[in-house]
Amino acid sequence: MACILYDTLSAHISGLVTDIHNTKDNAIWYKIQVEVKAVCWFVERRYSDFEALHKKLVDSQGIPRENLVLPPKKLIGNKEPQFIEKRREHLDIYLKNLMQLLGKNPPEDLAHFLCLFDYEIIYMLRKLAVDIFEKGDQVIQSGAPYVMSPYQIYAINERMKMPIPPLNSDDKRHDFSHIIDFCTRLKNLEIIGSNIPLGKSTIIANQYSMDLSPFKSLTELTLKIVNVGKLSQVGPVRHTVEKISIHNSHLDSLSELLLCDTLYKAFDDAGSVHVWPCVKWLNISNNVIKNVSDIGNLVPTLRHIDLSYNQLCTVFNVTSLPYLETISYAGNVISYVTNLHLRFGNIKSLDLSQNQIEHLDAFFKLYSLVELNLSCNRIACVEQVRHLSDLPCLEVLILTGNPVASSVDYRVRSLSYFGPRANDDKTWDIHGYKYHRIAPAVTQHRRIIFLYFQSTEWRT
Amino acid sequence: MSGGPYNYSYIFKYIIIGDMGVGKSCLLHQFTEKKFMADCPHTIGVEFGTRIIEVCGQKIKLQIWDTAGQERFRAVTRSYYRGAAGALIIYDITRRSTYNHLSSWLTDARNLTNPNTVIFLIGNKSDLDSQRDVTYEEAKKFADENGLKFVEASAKTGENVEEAFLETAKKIYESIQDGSLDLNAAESGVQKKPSANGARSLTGDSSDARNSSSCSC
Repeated sequence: MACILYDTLSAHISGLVTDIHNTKDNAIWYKIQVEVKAVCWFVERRYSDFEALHKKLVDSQGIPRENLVLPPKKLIGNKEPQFIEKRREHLDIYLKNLMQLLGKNPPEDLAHFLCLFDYEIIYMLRKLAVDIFEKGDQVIQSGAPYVMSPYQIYAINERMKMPIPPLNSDDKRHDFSHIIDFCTRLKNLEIIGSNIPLGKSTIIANQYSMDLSPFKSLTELTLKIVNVGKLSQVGPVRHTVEKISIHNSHLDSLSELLLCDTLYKAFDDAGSVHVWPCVKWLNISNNVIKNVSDIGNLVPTLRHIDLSYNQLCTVFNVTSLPYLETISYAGNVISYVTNLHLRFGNIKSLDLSQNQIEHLDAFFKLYSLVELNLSCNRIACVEQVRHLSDLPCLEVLILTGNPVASSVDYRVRSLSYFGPRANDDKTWDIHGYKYHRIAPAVTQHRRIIFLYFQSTEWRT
Repeated sequence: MSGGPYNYSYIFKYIIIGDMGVGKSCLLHQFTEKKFMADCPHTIGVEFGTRIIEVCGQKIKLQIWDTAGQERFRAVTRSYYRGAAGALIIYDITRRSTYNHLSSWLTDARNLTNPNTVIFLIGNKSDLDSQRDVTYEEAKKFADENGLKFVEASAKTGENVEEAFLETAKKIYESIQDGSLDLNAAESGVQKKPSANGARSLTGDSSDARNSSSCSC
């Protein structure tokens, strides 16, 4: 934890950097290493920055001039290595003396000079408080997501535990109460983590634990590149959140997410305290999920689940989810499916595009299905469409990008299975591709069939 | 800016203190959510609640810090006294020990808040009259002797809860109006709402803060 109230702040010049952006005048940048306990970061400053800082500190803090003296200016010959080395040593001593004098409670100018507002907890939260004080109400009013990093949430959690007044500066906009006030009311939170160091520091956001208890009104939670294992507490979020999305977070099972705050992540042990009673949307796309166990008792009111772009090789049983309407399995590795009606309940929309399905016999009793997307699979034989011909509610069927599309007359032949429900209509442009919209005729089922075919040939 | 929950002119900071189990969190919950929380867990460190109220035609946002009553959190909770415009001290009318500790809570509050902080005494659980251990008259006398406002309230039924929070805000607002509470003082616990133009308030506020700090030294 980088907090100067508990650990000493130290800074020294660790090296020199020649300006790579401005090679013409060979500007010299002094590389300052700032440390607070185990955390450290680098700041690059020029001699003129030191000079400006010194002037500000003399004005605002009245620092004793005789004790803190900057190396003198030199107009000619100031690029010579011996001179630079001497100046570096001198600046280093200056900086160390400065730390001794002001390191316990750095004034604003010094904090900016050492980038405390980017890395140190207390100063970082001051900056956040100002941002929230000025824009917080607009963010909440608009309903737009507010983006935070795990490190910021960790900082808020730690700050709550510290015996320090919420306002420990003269500027009331720095009040920590503003942050907690905002967190209490925020509805839409997006946490974007990172596995690489923050800026020029040793801080890796995803190594910090997060407690979501300060968030008391969240209805939408989005996690991107987050280490779910570090979600130690979800608090009231469990009872308010309706939509959870998690992407690119290497999630390999849903229990990791839904039981993130319990020690034993087994669904069998999950009791009523672990239920997410309001969750209707679950978007787990772009993770590494290989199989899904029964989540019905944890998210009983789920309506939409998106499992696209994972590593699933089979569909899972959702009969314990009575409200489920939409499922997406796009971009997985599903090849073999059987008797889907025993696994799916009252499903309206099913997306199985970009999988490896060859046979459609498993779909023959999915009577509730309205939309079925089977694009980019391995359906090679037109006869397979016959299995769908008895589905009474089907309105949209997408078969683009299957090998079947390369055979002659496949379109007319597949439509023939739907009998009078379908008639050839006209071509239609969708997303730049030429599709044949095969419509219509209101049938005795009062349903219309649209079949989308891609005109271009299937390429393997 | 439009009306609704974003239209207010002041922010007042409150703290709620008192012994463990007297119903601090329940009072706050009743005030912010208008609901009684039956199985309220122990507060860890500090909790928070917010609500916008109207006093003398002015919309005021209350930022309320609810503290843990347990002794082990005293270090954390004490730091929240500073900069509070209102302090609600709670005791439980069915437990005399919580009443007996009032003087130590009051000493803490007096020492750690500023002289203008409005201190309000609340005897909670007034719905449990049959189990009463502290009479109204006795507590009223204590409050009068120490110059505190006093009501008996019930977080369960909601009786007098609203009144206690509003009355405190009214007193704070009055001391702003008569000039005894300096808005610009760092620890007044009162703050003006951010103006629509963020940049302008930025320079304005910080120069105010600097002026006041230089005056006080």
